[in-house]
Amino acid sequence: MNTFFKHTIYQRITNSLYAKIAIVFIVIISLISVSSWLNIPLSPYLYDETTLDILANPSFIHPLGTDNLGRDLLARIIYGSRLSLLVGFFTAIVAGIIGSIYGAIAGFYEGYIDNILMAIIDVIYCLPDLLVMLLLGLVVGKGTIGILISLSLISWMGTARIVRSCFIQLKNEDFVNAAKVIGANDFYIMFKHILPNTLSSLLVSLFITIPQAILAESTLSFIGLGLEAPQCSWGTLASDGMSCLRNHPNLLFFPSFCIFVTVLSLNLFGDNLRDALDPKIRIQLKK
Amino acid sequence: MFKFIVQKILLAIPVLWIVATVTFFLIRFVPGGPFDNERNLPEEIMHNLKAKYKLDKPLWYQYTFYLNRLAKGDLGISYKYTNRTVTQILQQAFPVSAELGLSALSLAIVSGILFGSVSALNRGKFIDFLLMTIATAGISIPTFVFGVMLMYIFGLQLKILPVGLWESPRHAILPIITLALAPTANIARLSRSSILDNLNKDHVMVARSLGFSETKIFFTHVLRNSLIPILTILGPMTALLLTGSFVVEYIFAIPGMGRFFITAVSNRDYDLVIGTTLVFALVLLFSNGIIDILYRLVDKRILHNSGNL
Repeated sequence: MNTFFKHTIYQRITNSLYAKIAIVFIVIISLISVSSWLNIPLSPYLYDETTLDILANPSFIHPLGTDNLGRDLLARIIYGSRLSLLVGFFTAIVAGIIGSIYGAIAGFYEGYIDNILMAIIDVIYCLPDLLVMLLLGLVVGKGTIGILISLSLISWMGTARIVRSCFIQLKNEDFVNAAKVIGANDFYIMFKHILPNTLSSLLVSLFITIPQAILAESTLSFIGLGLEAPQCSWGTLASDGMSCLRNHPNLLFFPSFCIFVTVLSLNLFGDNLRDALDPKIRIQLKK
Repeated sequence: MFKFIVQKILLAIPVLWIVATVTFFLIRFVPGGPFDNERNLPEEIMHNLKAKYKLDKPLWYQYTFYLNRLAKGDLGISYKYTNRTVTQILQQAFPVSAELGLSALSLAIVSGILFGSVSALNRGKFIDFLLMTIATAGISIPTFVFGVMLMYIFGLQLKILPVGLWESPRHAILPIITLALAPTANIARLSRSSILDNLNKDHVMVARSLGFSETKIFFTHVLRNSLIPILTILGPMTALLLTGSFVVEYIFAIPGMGRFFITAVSNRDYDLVIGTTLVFALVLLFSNGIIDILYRLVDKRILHNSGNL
């Protein structure tokens, strides 16, 4: 990546107003999430039995209200952002690593290795995501680690397919042949020469996986099969809020809104990133 | 074409076998057993219960026993819903889920392509901007949030639609809309870009220069070609609908497959879990097969390139 490339990509992404807003939101949400590691005045677990602030409506002291145990919702949402974002980013990175290695091997060798590897992906595709996640989650155990592992294990297939098709396109290029002539081994060619060329596709699929993982985690937690108390993510907060829907819709609304804004920002950013990195669109823009 | 269909059916059998095997071992590795929730049973009763369902035998025996029975088309018995076979439960739950899923899928395809076309034909105008903003929001909002939102507005506040259960067509409105949202948004986004691609193709230009009306060009020359990418994502879309149906059935208390599956997993109702999974896999295989066939019907080039298939 030379500076020119970086410069134009940067310009193209920031050209769109949506992308700018999305970046601002992503930065703000990440900062809030990081800041929760510092001491915030209202701990999400802290509640005072002597005050009768149970299920309070939004007020000056509790900007978003309190839940059925008197815990401040704003503090819990800030605290919950940790897990929600962690799940998204961790899953995307692990899925990216597994997917690129798998796709690299399948695309580089083709033939029967490719057939077998792709058949495995097809079989996994024949199972609904949620079902695989549930079963895997139960096997590796509930809790954060379980969710992280099971989400990572079902998210890499898309990336693997993308990397594979990139490899099939690139493996007959001159630079690969040149490397072969010099005597470089397959491993070196795959990861040193070809993989860097798939970087833009990898980046795009990374930004598709993050919002999907966040959605998946919140959905799992919402139906009660993901994270459980005392852990708290936006999904579990929404799940808790569901029980008080009739009289205290704020308990469901605010966590859901956080999920929505985060996922929307990531999706908008991902869309613009894809457009910026897509060579076809770049040519169209030149015309 | 006939050979192709036979090939697909033959390929489905090993896939289903793998799915059954994987699910069989996964669910048995999950800690806890089907009778853990019962109140402290005496040792002998527990032993008899396990013996009745052959759970005291070694794993390989249970596996071969299961496969043997499966080959005869018997899915086993539910441990929790006593006296009901898995087949009976599925017979009851499947039509409900199928009705919900198919209605949502048709709604998503029709409205998705409609919105996509309107958006593409008005490229750069306000309506395009509006529809695409809604579509991006549509893929970003979790299904459960949208469902609960609809439930709150139409069920609890306006009180014009029921908030749950599956009894009359009125009960179906909210679940179907909830389930259709994400696929609709996806299809709308995809069909917009695919129609835009095709609007600038040479053959469309020729048709235009020959003086055909824009309407005729759109329906005969553009739309048909634009459908191909949409067909490709219908497979993943069916999977998305199945996943969505878990959530929708949970929120709206609909007695469908998703709901049975979730309770079966938490009850460790082994046979019911595998049975439901197999039906899910079968549905996905079937829909992917149909999509492959449609693919060949819409795009004659594939038929041509793949020889005699």
